[in-house]
Amino acid sequence: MCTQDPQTGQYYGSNCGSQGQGTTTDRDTGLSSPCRCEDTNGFNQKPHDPNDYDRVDWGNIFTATAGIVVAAVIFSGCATGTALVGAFACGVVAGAAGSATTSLLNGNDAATVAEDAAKGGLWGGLFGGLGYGASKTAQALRPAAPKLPKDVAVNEVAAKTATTSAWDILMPGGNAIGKAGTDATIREISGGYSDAQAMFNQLSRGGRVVANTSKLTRVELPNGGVVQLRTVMSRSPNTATIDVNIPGLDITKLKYNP
Amino acid sequence: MTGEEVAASVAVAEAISRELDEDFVGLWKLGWHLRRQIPGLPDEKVRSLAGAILQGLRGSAVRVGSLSEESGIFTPWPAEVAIDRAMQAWAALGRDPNIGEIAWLVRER
Repeated sequence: MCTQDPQTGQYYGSNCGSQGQGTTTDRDTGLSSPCRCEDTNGFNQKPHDPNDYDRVDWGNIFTATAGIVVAAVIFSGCATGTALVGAFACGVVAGAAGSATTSLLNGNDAATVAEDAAKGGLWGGLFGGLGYGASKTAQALRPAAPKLPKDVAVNEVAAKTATTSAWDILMPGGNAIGKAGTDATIREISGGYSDAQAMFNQLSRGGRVVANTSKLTRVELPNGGVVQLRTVMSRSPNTATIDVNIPGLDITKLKYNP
Repeated sequence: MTGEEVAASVAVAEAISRELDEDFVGLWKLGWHLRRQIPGLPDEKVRSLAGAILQGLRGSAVRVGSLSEESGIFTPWPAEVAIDRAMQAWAALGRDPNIGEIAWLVRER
């Protein structure tokens, strides 16, 4: 039976239950016996010293941590990108090494270390295989990204960015900029040519100039959209107009009125 | 022409006509408005509806022509061939015209 602390009334030994109850099978004789303090989680440990009851057992924490670190380092070094068999083997090696490390640091003899290594290897292999299966399942559930030529993918990103930017500029807060003109897709804005020019500079950022005369500037955007700033072509004198054709935007013209 | 197409064409013609009262209008706007009215409309149908709209606008002093990007001067095409010329150029383009492409519309005063 485990030793009972005379002051607290609690029992020592983590596997012995809160009242020291239970039985365990002796690894040497195969006989069942009352729960012993040294039987903890199936690993051999030195009997707990009742005098250390109220203290943190830094020795055991150190040996357990050392084993975990050894196993983690080995596993992380060999598990990446391996197949199921590789992941299992990697887990076996890591688990065995980690368990053997802990067992050695606990001062066990060679036979016990070997036995602990075997147990750790089995558990490590099991977790390695489970980890591989989980990663493959996650990959299967994740939507496959379309495989596009590099330049196409880059253009799509650029197009999305350009559209998002134009949307932010022309639909602040989700509402179309300015006030409706002859129809809702035409937006009238108070301002002169310099204001129109500033707006055009924002909308055409990242685009390619395809026409540039004293009367107009037209820019092709990466997303296929086109914006054009024109002056004298407008019937209304002293006004500047920006023609807009950007996919996804329900605005075709910005008319600046002084 | 279905009822939906007729309604869409009328709505587009009205929008273009109002805009022509104060500004030049690019041919590209016909396709843009039609596709917005009826999403998924085949290219050929968009062109035929646009042609019908141009015919309708012709009766309200609307001219089809080119606009010089250097001088800003509008040059109307001969009325008897202007719409056919614009629609043939649209068909040859193989897609909807964009800003500045093919032709402009102007209402004569």
